Amino acid sequence: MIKSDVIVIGAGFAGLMAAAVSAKRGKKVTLITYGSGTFPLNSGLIDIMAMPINETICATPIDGIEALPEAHPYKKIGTDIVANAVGFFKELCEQENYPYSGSIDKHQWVVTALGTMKPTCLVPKTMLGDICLKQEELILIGFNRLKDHYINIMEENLQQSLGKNKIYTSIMVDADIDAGRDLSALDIARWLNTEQGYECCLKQLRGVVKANSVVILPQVLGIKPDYAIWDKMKKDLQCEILETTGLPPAANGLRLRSMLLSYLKKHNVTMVENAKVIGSTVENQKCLAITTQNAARERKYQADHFILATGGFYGGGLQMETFPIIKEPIFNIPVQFTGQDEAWANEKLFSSQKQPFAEVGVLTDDKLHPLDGAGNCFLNNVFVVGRNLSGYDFCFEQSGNGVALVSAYQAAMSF
Amino acid sequence: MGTLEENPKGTADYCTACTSCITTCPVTAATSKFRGPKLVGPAQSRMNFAEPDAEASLEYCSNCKNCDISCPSGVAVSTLNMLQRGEYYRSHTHPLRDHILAHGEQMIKMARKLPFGSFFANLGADIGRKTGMLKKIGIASKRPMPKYANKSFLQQFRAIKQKSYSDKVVFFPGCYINENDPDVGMAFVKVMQQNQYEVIVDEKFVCCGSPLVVTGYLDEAEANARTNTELIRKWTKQGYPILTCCTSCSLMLKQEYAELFDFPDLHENAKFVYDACEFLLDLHDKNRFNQDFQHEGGSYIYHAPCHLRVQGIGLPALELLSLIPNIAVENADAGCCGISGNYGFKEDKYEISMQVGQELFQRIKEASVDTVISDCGTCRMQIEHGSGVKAIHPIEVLGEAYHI
Repeated sequence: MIKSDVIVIGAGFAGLMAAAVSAKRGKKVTLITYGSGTFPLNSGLIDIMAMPINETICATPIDGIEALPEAHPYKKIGTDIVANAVGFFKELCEQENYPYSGSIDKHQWVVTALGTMKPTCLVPKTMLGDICLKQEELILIGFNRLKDHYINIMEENLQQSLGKNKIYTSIMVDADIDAGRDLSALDIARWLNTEQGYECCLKQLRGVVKANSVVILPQVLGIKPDYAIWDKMKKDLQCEILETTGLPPAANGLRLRSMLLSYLKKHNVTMVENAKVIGSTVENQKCLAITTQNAARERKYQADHFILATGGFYGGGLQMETFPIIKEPIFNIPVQFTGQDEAWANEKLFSSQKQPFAEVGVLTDDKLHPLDGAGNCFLNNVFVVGRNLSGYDFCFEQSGNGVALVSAYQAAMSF
Repeated sequence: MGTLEENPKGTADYCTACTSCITTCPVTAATSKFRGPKLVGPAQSRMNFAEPDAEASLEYCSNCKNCDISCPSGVAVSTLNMLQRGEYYRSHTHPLRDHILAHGEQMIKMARKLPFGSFFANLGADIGRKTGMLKKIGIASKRPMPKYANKSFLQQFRAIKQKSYSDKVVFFPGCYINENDPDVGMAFVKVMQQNQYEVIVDEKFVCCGSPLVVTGYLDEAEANARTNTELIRKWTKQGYPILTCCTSCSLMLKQEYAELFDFPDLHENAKFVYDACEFLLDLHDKNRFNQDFQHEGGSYIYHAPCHLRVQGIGLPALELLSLIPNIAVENADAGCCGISGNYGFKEDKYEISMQVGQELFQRIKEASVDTVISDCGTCRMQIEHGSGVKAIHPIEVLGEAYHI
C-alpha cells in the first residue's frame, strides 16, 4: 500500500464528506471503513441548526448558529466555513445529478412519518414540505403490508399543523410483491424502481388522485440518487409528489450514501472495507501510521494526515466501560466528563434541555486538532470530525449531519 | 465482523437493530422470502431459548457476508446464520442435493481413481443436467456444472521443475483450483518463482470446508478444519506463509475456522495465511516485488469478491495490476455476483442468484471488454454464465505480464 496524503477513518456521513473534500483538493485519499454508517437511520437530510439553546426554534439556521455557546463546533469553525461547507455539498450534489435545496438563511420544512412538520436545512427535492402550505388537497398514500407508516395518525397530526380547512384523502396501495416478510419502505422503493412496480402503483393512483393536489408518500421513490421516478410520477399524475421522513431503513439515507460513494469513486479514493482501526503510531506529536485489525492480523497504513470520523458511543468512536472513564481508542485522545453521575443525563426523555451525555466528546482547536487535558494541541496532523466532537447535541439542536458536514469540510481544508 | 478474540455467539448482543445489514443484503433485495440477516442470525440466535427451531427463512442466507461488511457494531451476522443452520441440521435430514453440493471434493477424488475419471464425471454431470436428473434432485438445471480439468493441479505440479530459493511459501490450492481451474495454480507457481520464492504444496490438505459450512455439515467441516490446522501449524512453525488464490478458502482459514470452532492454533495459524495478491503487495511494500513486466496491453474490468472485501485488506489485486504498464483495469464496483459458493447451484436459489448478479452483469456488458478479472473461482463461473464474458484470476494476468 503506497503512502496516502490523507487517511480518513470512518465511512459515516462525516467520513465520506472528509474524503470527498480531500479528494476534490487533489489529495490521495484512503478511506478505512468498519460498518456502513448511520445512513439508513437518518433520511439523508442535512439539519444545520433549529434549536440552539432551548426548545425555541431559531429564525434561520444561521441565526441559530450565532446564538450558540462558544464551545459548540460551529462557533469554533466560524460561519464563513459553515457557508462554504454547505456550498461544497450542494455543488457535489449538482455534479452527481441529485441536487439538494436549501440554504443557511432559511429553514426548510419536511413532513415526518408522524405528520408533524420538522425544520431542516438541506433537502432533496422530493421532501420539500412547503408545498403542503400552497396546495389545497393533500392525499396520503399508505401501502398494505408496509410497517411503520400509519397514514391515519399522519392525517390527524397534519390537520393540527396545517389546518383542518384543507382536504385530506387517504389511499392504500397494494404492492404486488411476492408474499414473504413484512415490507419496509425500502422494499417498496425497490419495487417502484422496476417498471412493473411503478405501473402497478400508478394504476392504483390514477383517477383517484386529482390534478394539483399533493401526494404524500413514505420514502419510496426509488433507491438511486436521482429524481427519475419523482419526475415521472409528477408528470403522470399532474400533481405534486412529496416524500416524508421515515423509520429505518430510510431510502433517502441510502441515496445520499450512494451519491457520495459514486463521487469518491470518480475522485479515485481507495477504500479498505471492514478494517477496524485499533491504534496509531505517533512520534513527536505526529501520527505516522494507524494500525488496523483485519481478518487475520494487524496492518499499518501510513499517511501525512489523518481524519478521525469514527462516531460517538454508538459508532464506537468513544467507549465507556466504567463511568466516567471515556476512551477514544485509536489515538487515546483524552475525553472528560466533569460532572457527577446525576448530571450525565436529564431523566426526561423529551427534556427541554440538551443532554449532557450527548455533548461529551473530543475537545479541539478551530482547525479540529484534538486537544489534551491542558488544552494543548498534541497531534499536529490529526483532525477530529463529526460525532467524535464535544459540545453539541445533534438530536436536540437538530444539527444531525450538519456538524458532520461542516467539521469534515474544515478538517479536509486545514492541511 | 467479530474480531478473532470474540466469540461470534456473544456478538449477537451488540446488535442495535440499526438495519444496515438489511439494506446491504443482496438476497433481501432480490426476494421477499428472506426476512433479512438481522432477524435471522442476531435476533433468532438470542431467541433460541424461547423457540428451539431455526427461523424458517434461514435457508435463504447465502453467507456472502455483506451484512458483516456493513455492520457498525461488530456482529458476526453471517457466521451466526451458519451456526444456526448447522444446529438445525443436527435434528433434521439433509436433502440429497445438499450432500452432493457439499461433497464435491470426495466425489472427484473417487472419480480420478478411475481411468478417464474427470472425463466421465463431466459427461455424467452434463447428461444429468440435460436429462433433468439434476433438476429433479434440486440442482440448478439452467447453469452448467463446473467442468473438471483433465489433469488436476496436483498432478501438474508434480511435473514442475522449480528453481530452488531459500524463501518458500506453502500453497493451499483449494478444491476449485485443484480440480477445475489448475491454470490459476500453475500461474501462481510461475509468479512466485519470478519473485524468487519456491512453492511447497502439501498434498495432505483437504477441502477448507466452506461448502460444508454453508450447507450445514458443521461436524464434517470441523474435521476438515482440524486436519488442515494441524498441517498448517507444521508449516507455520517453520515460519512459512500459507497462500491461497481462492478468497473463500483464505477467509475460511483466516477467520471462519476461528469463529466457528474452538481448538488450539487457529488464531496463531491465521496470522500466516495470505491471499496471494495480498502477499505480493506486501512484497511490493518491501521493495522486492519483481516489476519486470512486458504485457502486450489490454483493458479489463475487475470484480471484487465479497469474501475478499470482508477480509479487511482492501483490494490488493487492483493495486498490483496498476503496476503493470499498458493495461487498464476498471473496478466494476457492482456488489455481489450472486453465486455465493454452492448457493447459486441450488435449483430453488438459481433465480435469486441471477437477480443478485444483474447489476454486475450489466456493468460488465457495458464495459465492452473481452476479459473480466476476479479472485474467486465461483464468481468467475457466475460472471461467465451471467455476462458471457471470459473471467480469469489476477494471478494469471501477472503471469502473462512476466511473459513466461
